[in-house]
Amino acid sequence: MARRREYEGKAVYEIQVKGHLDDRWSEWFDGFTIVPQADEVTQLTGSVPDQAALHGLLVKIRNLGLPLLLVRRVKDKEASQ
Amino acid sequence: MAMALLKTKLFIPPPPPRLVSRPRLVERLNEGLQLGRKLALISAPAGFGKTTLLSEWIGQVDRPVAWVSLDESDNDPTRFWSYVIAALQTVRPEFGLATQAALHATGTQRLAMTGLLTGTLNELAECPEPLALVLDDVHWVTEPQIHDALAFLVAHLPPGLQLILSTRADPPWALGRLRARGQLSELRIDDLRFSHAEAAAFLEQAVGVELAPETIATLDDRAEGWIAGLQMAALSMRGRDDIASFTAALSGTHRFILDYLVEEILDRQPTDAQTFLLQTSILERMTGPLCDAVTGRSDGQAMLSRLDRDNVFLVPLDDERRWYRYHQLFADLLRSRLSHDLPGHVPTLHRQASEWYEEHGLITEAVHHALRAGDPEQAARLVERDALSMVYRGELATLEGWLDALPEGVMYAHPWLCVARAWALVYMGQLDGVERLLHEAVGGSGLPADSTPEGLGSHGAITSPGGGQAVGTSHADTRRLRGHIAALRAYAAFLRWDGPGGTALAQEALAYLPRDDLTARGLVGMLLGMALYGSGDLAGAEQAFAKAVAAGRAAGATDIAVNALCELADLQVTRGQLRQAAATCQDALRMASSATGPGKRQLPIAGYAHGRLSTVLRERNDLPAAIHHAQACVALSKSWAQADAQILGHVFLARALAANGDDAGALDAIQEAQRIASEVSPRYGDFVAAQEARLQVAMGDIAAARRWQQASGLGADDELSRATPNYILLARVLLAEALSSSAGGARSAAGAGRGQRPGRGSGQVDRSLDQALTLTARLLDAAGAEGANGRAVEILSLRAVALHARGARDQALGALERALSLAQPEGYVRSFIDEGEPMRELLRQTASRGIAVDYVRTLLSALDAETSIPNLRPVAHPGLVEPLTERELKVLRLLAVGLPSKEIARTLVIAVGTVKQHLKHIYGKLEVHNRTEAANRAKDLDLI
Repeated sequence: MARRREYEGKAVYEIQVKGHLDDRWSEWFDGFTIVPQADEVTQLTGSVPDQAALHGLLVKIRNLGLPLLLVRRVKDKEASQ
Repeated sequence: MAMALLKTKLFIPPPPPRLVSRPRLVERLNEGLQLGRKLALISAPAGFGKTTLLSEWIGQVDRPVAWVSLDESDNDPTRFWSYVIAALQTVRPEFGLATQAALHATGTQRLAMTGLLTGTLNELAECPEPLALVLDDVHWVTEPQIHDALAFLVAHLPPGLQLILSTRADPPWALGRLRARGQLSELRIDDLRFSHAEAAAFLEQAVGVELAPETIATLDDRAEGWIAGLQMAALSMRGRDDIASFTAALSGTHRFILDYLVEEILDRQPTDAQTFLLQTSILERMTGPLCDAVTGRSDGQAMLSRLDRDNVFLVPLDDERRWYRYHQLFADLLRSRLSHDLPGHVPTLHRQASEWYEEHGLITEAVHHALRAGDPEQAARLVERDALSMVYRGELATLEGWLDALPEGVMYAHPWLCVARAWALVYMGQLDGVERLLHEAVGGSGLPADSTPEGLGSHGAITSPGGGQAVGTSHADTRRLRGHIAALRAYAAFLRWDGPGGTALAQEALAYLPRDDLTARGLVGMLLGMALYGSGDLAGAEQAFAKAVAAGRAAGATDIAVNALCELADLQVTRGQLRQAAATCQDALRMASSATGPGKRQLPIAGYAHGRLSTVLRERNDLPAAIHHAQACVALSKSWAQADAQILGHVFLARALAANGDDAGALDAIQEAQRIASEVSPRYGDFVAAQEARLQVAMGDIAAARRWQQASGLGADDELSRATPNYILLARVLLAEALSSSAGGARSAAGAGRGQRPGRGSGQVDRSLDQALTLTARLLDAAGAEGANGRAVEILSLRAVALHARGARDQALGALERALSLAQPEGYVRSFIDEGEPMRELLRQTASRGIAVDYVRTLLSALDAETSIPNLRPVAHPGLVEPLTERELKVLRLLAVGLPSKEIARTLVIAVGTVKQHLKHIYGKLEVHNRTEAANRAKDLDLI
């Protein structure tokens, strides 16, 4: 049985939105690293303390009207590499 | 104690001066209205013109519109519904007065939100003309309690009301069901996106010059119909002569279009305006002086007027153009730049805003900014000032949200914050954690732990302080704090059914609470009264209730005052003061009616008063009035979804109907009480089970009453400290058992005239009678000791019948005489005539001895009336001699669709045996012999 708690606490997430954002947005998005990709996609990568913080971040994205493309929890192994 | 509402949130924003009319979308909304769809949902991301569309739609609609602009602070049920009601009042000033009062009454948490809404809906359903309620920016609301209530509202919306929501996120309800039923009009992103023609018209208007078709095509291509994008593009182009190169640059960049454009717009503003925009972006609402406080400049009002004139994403919030806000999308863009460009300034800006709001008495906003400033100390100081009033006003969710935002240590350092949070928890029935908070409150205030006030004993006596004084808190404040801590512990004890503990704590609280803390004193007085009542100190309880009534009345806390009056009435009935009890109920009813005039309605709490009055009237044999008030209790508590009052109401109704000879109706009512109790708590279940046994024994179903006794575990030899209703009932069951088996049914006493079963051994009969006699003697002593004269009347009547059965005639008459002397001045009737034939005989003998002749004559004629008219109820259907009860009608309908008894039982949540009993009654009333005949006859009579 998968343990719930493991997924509820601090974790690294990758979020992709449509449209290019520059690093200046980093403070706004709770210190996430902003990396523009091809096809006008921006990837935001960073750590959230818990699920509530993640949802808060998603609301910020929604409030800007940025189309959301992907939200992915980065596995611990990947994150530490 | 109403909360301060911001009128700006009810202001319907006017359509912007340059508007691209969108007749297609307006028509879609109108169509939904004509089709009678309950809900219109405008769901799209920011900047797609949702609010603008609504204001255009309102400009042409044929019905009044109530409007609420929601924001972050509305994520609190009390606030949310306060605004909704205030909005409806802009259309109908008399609307919702009762709901409003209920919303703000202390202890609101007892009232389910759906109950509040049912009351509101009933009121809305009575509205003569249609109206529309717009909730703008519903995405701010995430609190499940609000969403549950909104979904309930939509499901039960009266035909005249349409709900229109605008939101960036679909509400978490079962929208699919509404769609499938054709009850939902929807406008979504693809509907709202500007068409090419709309984009062209918009750009030309907004830029103010004619644009080349290729420019328009490029811009539209880049913005993809996103109105905010086009609007910002237009703003960047205004006054520019290099439109072509601007357009080329915009289409050439891959940047997020708004990010790019906001930079363009800012760059084109003078430096002072740029700084102003960034600094004020932290504000949710702006007015000149507030902007000045934040920027440290003095040009706030002038700057706002200029931005308004230049159409820089400013939304006016009133007609005078004093208050504004930025378009939310624009504000977010500005804030993101601020946090990057001037990150160190943000806390200072928020702190300055917080100070300005504090100076102007707007605490909610002051707290909001203090928290954003990262200054929990300041926030805690502000919250502490208002925390207790927020509890009293029922703004628990907001309070909880604020306290959650504070570091634990900061909250613990402020004793009043701990106390306020503890109240919030207790009101929500969550006792865990309360003691910890109180412990911290004691620690934070520097009070010595476990101190007890001196000189306790007389209620509310001011005593000398019990110990050390906190640093920085005044003597009076320390006493008040102690008072609240004790009050909270008393409340917790009450919820745990710890009577003695509750009594001591409530007395301690009253000793410390200041005279002017009326709400707390009222609440504690009520708790003390209930605890004393429970322990048999009736005089003490009466005093406590009377004080609670006075305090509640003076505090304007109607809930407390009416509740205490109802408890007082119950107590008076117990003490045999029927006349006073009736007057108390009338007093409670007067108090529980809101205001006067067209908005006059009864508050939910009035249900209890009706119920209590019904018991008094039943005892005096005014049965039509008793039934009427029990029904009023049921109806009122149903319309406010108050489970406990509904249970009581059905029980009172059952007793009134049974007295009126409607056994089937009485059983129906009891079953309904049982059904509701089973959904609420086993505590009510026990109460209802006893009430059912009471009915059963009166109807002669002694076996059933015996089963109750076995289940309840009560025994005739139990130690008794009080004459509680359940032991009186046990005596009644024992007596009925003895009577039903002896004398081969020649007697009919204690209602045991029907369904008696012969064949019991005489030993058993003797034992039951012995037990009844011993038990009534002991009960009588207990009732005498606590002054429960009302109970003594019933016990003496039972005892007289029991003694009579034993052949002890003189003793029987002696007991009856005692009962009569207690009962005569108060006008008791039912406690005598409910005992049936043996009582008739006893009364006759009493009269022949010249005792209380007139009174006895009244009782005898009431008893004669009872037996000569078998059925007092009116004939409800011309084809039926005896009308069907509501429950029987339900059974009949299910039977007619072909359900077997087992299924009917399951559907109605009753026993199969009960269904069969209903069927027997139905067959009798319809004069048929089987299911098919019953169904046919029912159809012929148009009963189903």
